[in-house]
Amino acid sequence: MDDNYAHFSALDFAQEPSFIRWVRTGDGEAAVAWQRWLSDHPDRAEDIAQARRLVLAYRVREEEPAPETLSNIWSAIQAQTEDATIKPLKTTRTPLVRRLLPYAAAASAALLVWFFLAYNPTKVVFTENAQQLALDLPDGSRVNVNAATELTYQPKTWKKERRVHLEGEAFFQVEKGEPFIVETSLGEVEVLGTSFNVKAREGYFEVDCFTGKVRVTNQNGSKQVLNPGQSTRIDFASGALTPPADYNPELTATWREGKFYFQDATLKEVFLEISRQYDVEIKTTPEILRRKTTTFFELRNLDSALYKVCWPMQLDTKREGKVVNVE
Amino acid sequence: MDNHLWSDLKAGKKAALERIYADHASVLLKYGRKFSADSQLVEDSLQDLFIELWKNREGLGNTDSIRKYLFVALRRKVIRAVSGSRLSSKEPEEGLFSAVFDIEQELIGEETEAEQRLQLQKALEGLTKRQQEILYLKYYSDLDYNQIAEIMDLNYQSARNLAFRALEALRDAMLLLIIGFLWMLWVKLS
Repeated sequence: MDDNYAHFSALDFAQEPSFIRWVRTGDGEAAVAWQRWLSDHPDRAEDIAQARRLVLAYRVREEEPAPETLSNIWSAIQAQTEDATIKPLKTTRTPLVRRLLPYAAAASAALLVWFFLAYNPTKVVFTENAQQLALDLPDGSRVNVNAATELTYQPKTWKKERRVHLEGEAFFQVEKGEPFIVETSLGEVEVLGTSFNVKAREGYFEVDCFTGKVRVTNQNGSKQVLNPGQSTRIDFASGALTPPADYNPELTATWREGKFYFQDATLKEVFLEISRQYDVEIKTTPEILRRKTTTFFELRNLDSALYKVCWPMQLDTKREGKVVNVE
Repeated sequence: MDNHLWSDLKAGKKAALERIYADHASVLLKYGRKFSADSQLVEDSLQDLFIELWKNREGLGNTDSIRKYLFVALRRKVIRAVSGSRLSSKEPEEGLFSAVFDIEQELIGEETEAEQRLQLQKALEGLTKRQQEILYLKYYSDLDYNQIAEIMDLNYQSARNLAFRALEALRDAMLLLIIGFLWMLWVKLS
């Protein structure tokens, strides 16, 4: 044992970790060392005795937590940190109406009308690639629907429950009233009266709150409440929603004005948006799709959009009609 | 070892979270109870702490001691929950820590009078709450002064001073006890 201890007072000994271990737990190794030290320094016996008394004086009445208490808390933690895999959306999804078309064609026109009015009160709104539209819901809430998006709701029960199903991307301006719910296959958004943007596409889920308060829940039960100016995404690595973060209003949900900004996004995400907005097929390599970029394009013409995205990445593009090769 | 466990946690290994819980939950509960007699409140705080640890694991910084990290976080959580009803969610200056003391028999000898034990008890209770807390962290939690300072939101030197004053006060009280004991012995013998 080193002899720094020669200058120790009783108060110093009482703060020395190995000394404390010896006194409190009778730890074998520490006990041997300290007894040896004491026999080498018999003149310090009184200080050591005093230090022992000090350490022993501080004795707190402690109740050991019951094993059931500890295991109950762990079960609760376990239940709330459960991992569930999120199934990504299918890459291409045929709108419901189109899926019904072959059958509908077989039926008579009159039967079709009757069928939709009486038995299938679900209203389906969908946009094709290179198409955007705006629509009013029965309560006057307004929705801007981005390209390649499907929106479904029930006009008949709208008064009872304001609920829409969304696959794709849309911007909502909701009239005040009962809770308004946007459900997607990745998560649910609940609001009272507010405006917000939801993007729920294959392997991507993001909600941006513009006004009012928005509550977002994903399939794992991860919840976030957004205030104006905040956004959350699903972090697919953890399956949880990211904590609310401020977004840049000048770069967010600007698709309504035909402007598309990407920050630290993969080229896959950017090319998917170009192919939706211009209805083109983009052929490239998986390596290129994984590359990250911060970029911007405007909805004016395809060639300038491709140029803006590809030129800074030193990628060549060749276009033949509706097919673009990038390499 | 802490480093390994911590990076496993950050990498999303559930076993790491379980291991950390097994290693520290019991000490944490005991420490938390010193800030609130409401054991449900302390248990809820511990539960939230571990859930948040898991949910925010990717954003976690590095830590030299997992125990210190957990003590800091739990202390903050319990104090915030306890002060929910008060105006400020900050810890009052004089501290919130409170413990019940047991006096060792061995301490002054078997003949220790009840009266003397009571006096030592009074001396312990006479320590400020912050002094009581720093000795608890020193004697019951296996943490060093750098870690203790961080937990109690002090700089290293203030932590050392606080512990020194606490032990000094205890030593003086015990010297008085021994003098009193010898005096009584002398009175009895003469």
